[in-house]
Amino acid sequence: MSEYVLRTRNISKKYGDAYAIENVSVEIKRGQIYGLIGLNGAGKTTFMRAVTGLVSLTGGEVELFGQTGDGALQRARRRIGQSIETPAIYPNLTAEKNLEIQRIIGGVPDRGAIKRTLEVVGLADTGKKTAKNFSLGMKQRLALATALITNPEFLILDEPANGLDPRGIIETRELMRRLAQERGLTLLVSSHLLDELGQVATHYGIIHKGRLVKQLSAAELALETRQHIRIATKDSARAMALLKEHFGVTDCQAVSANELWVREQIGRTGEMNTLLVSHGVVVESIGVSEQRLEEYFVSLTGGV
Amino acid sequence: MTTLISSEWYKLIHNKLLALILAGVALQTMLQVQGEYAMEKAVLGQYGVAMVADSSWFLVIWIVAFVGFFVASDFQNYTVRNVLALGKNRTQIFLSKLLAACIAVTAIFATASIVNTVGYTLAFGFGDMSFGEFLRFSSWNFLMQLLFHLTFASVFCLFAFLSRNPGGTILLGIGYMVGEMLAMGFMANYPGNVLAFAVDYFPSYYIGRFFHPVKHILNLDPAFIRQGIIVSLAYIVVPCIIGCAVFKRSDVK
Repeated sequence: MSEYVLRTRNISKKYGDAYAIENVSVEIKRGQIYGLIGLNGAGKTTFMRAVTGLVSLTGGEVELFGQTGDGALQRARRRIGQSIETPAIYPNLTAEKNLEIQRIIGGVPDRGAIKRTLEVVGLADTGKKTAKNFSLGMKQRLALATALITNPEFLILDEPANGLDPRGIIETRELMRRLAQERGLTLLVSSHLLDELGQVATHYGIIHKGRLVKQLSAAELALETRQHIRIATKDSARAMALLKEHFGVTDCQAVSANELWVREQIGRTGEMNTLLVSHGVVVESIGVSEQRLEEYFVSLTGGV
Repeated sequence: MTTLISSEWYKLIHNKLLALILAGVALQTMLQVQGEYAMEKAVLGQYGVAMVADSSWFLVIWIVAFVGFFVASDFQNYTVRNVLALGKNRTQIFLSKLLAACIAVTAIFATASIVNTVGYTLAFGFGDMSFGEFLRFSSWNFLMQLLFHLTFASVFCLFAFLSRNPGGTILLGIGYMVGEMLAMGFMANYPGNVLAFAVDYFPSYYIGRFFHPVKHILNLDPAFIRQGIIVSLAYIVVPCIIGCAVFKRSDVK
């Protein structure tokens, strides 16, 4: 049994002359919650569609549960649950009937799975209300239930927090955690709410303009976004030179002409301030802070 | 394939669409019978099944409405994604939808036939056919007309997979019906009868021929019937092949 649930090798999808995704190589191991981060139109949804077989590839290869090739991939996809973009539900049917259809298609023999799944997503008491009368949050949860009814091993969720109120967002986050812990599910989740995603993801893929810019684990991300000294100054280049000369600083980055980040010697903030001031460098502010996931994303993709 | 057919069957039963369409067909057929009664155009109840061909145009509109709202809406609701992402074969998906459309066409035809037979019997009496003769006449007529109308199910399914929305399917379907009528009229009336032979290649031609010689339907030339069956099968199979091929190569949102 392959330890990888999903491996893509240089997959590309072209619409006309433009690449929606280009040479994207992603690796997701069992049990991981993989957060796919990117701006609108970055290629997140196209990537998910390519994995689920909704769109054909222009190039590259998808491997699911160690399987490649059309026939084997099709069979492997039976182990996937997905909710991509708009909730895919029958508006004129109740939640129960929606799940019954997916249960039949997925060949799940146990009818009790419907009730259990509705309870998991919190839609057990919707009765005869048809899906068209659901709120967007309820539709999202029904789409999630549709993905879960076939008892998948790999769940693909595109913006699952879209349209949810704060409580719904927390519930969805907790549900994702529970699914990963209790059922051993592997998740591929995309979201615009980066800090929200930061609370559940174990691994990240940052996609920008159709290309995978970076792939890293939560631990690696923590290291990259670890505590640092933020110095706001009129002359970051000179400040950096002084710090290198007097403190031997090596892990130092001028994030802009007016801002400098030092990722070492955190305890010597005061000394650094004194040094810069004594050399005539105006320090507008100095302090220790941590980079948020959003800031890290912006630093990688070059602004929103 | 079994799971796909089962799910389509479940949707047919639990979706109110087919029930609404059948109610519409029943009402339209009753109005037609009432119209004949008002005009004192006596039609005996024993010919009720054959009379369905007289309202073929309306029935085809019901068929395209069904295909649009039942088949194409799967693209509009994105529910086709739920099937595809489970690794289901695209040809099988197309065929299961076509089968659902064929079941609906059968139900539409059965409803119109029953309402016609009962309605005309109440209005003008049943006629002098024995029960056995009536059964033979009706079942033969029903099956042949059903076959001719199944061609529309296949063509409209293709339209549903091409347009991917109910409105587009209905517009294409009506356009097809009008186009077919105009083409047949043009060919039949072309000077010198040089194009008249081409009319034989339209299923609607056979629907008309089955209706007109109501009393002699069982005595139709077997070669003519054979040709009608071949033409109909071609109209079912060819759109099906095109639909499967297009769907296999296309991306789904």
